[in-house]
Amino acid sequence: MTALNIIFVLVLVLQTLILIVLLKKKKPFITNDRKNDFNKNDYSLRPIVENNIDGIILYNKNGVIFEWNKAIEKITGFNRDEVIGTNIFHILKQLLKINQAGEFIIDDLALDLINESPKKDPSMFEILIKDKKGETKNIELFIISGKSDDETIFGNIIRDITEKKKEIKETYFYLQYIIDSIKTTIITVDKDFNVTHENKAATRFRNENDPEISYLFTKYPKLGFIKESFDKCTDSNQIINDSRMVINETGETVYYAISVFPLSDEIRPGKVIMIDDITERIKMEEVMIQSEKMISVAGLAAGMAHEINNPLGTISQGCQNLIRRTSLSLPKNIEAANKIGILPENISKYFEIREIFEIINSIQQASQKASEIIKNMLQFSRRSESKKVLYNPEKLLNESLDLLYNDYSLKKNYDIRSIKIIKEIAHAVPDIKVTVTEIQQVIFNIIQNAVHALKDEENPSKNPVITLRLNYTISEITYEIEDNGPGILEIHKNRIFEPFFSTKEVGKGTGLGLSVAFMIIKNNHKGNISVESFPGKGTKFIIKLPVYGF
Amino acid sequence: MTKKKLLILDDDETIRFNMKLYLEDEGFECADAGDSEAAFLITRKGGFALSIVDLRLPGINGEDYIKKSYVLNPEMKYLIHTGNTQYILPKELSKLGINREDVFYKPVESFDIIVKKIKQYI
Repeated sequence: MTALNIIFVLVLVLQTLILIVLLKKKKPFITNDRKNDFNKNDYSLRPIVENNIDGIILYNKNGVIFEWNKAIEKITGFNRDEVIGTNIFHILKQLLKINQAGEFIIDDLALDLINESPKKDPSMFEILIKDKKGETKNIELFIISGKSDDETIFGNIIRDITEKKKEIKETYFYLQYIIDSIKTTIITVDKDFNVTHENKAATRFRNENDPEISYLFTKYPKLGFIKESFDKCTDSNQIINDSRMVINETGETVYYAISVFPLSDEIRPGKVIMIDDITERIKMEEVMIQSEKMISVAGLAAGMAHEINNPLGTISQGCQNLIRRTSLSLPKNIEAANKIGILPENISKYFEIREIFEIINSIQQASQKASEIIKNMLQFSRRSESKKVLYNPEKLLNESLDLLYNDYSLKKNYDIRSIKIIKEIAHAVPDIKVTVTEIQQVIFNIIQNAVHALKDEENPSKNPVITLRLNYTISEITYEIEDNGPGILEIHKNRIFEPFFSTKEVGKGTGLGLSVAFMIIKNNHKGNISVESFPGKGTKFIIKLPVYGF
Repeated sequence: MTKKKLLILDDDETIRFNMKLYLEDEGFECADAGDSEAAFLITRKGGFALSIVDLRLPGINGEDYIKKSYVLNPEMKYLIHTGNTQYILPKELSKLGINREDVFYKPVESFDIIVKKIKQYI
């Protein structure tokens, strides 16, 4: 019995010990103590919650807040002491009630609490809140919940994304600013050809009546010219580069370079369209070709002049020989006449009666004139070495006028002598330091324009007059070139010095004459050129050049 | 006084022909050449007082002709008769005693000025 008793007692003791150990181990999990733990906020994971960089709010099914960490204090401005034990809705209403999205979230949370239904996945919202100070912040709000033993715990994780948002916004605006600053038109479309992006340059092609339309070719009715390139890109799924010439609504010819790039992104397939206005470039190329032509013409003229002067020399000399060989002053002439039985006097008499000397004289004059034209042409076509010399302004004006009288193209089309030229020149105008050929070119050009205006085929002036004035002050000389032609329309007046602007018929003017004049006067000579015009009364060009030494 | 001869160097035959007529009428004895090589052959025999030289010539041009001829015959005078109205006398030729008044541009309005110049030299 004793042995059995001893065993029994031992087992009993052992059982008690195990129980005690087990009981001791179980103690932290006793549910009764749990709530007290939360209230005391000394549960073991607290430091992790407390120091989390995201704001964390925890509350029970009744909405009573039992956790409010440091980060949420910072985001909301509400202290832990103010909110612990209060109702979550009370505080959320203050934070979220600035728009409908906030109210929706509050409703959502309320529903969760009523149903006591924990969400399987945390849901996320991106909304605006107003903190205690009334400052608006962008936040991301996660709603979490979980069932622990007998109780469902709810929580919100709140992340301040105000700075991030601001950065994204700034980046977006910066990118948009960049693409808006680009002159190239940029449009992106999705797979159904609806416009997803456009830059500022694209707006000029838009249908302003209905900005809501998104279909590419309805939104931009003026983009018909890219259709072919666009279709090519759709068919081939390859980058397409094209160029097109378009006559716009004001009748101007515009050149475009078109590129269409396929966006092969599987999530958002579509296309990028880029359109460049290359009109200036094309025109520039034309001008370069033109000026190269001019240069070669000038070279040709120089070579030709040399060649023409030789036969002119023969003509001139031949005439002089003719006169001498019929004169009585050469003994050889008399000798030859006597030899064939003609009275030497009769030879010159015959020549006089038949006006042969006049004929010879006219030939001589013509050859002199031809050589004069060539000389002027050479001077005009010669490339300016920009060598400035002291020059008399009156002489310069007269030379420009001579040049004009010798201008073949002008003479061919108009009888320039039917235009009355009045000169009003001041006495003793001081010298100017200029590149003579350049200023000649400017004056020539302006007078030529005046002649064209006065001799307009459709509307010729009845009493055409060009007045050339030359005046001076102590610091500058002033040329005025005035005509009584039809004048310049107000809308054209501001543009006449613009390169490529011409009101003349296509092929008759390059639209460069006055822009070159402008460059010569303003840039090369530090002078000034301006225009005054009254429609129906005439036009006056005023050129001011600094007096040398002033 | 021995008659001093003139040489007309020009590749244009009509110029040579007319100039020769005119100068012969003035009593000068003239020879003419269409290029510098021919001119050298002619003047080598001597007796030439003055050359009227065109500048643009086949082969040796007028300027080079004058420079070479000057070495062979430093006594000879030169007049330049050119169709290039923009021609400016270079320093090398000025050094040989040719001045701006010795340059005549085609077409010469009155040949008397050339005759006057010739008479001044010979």
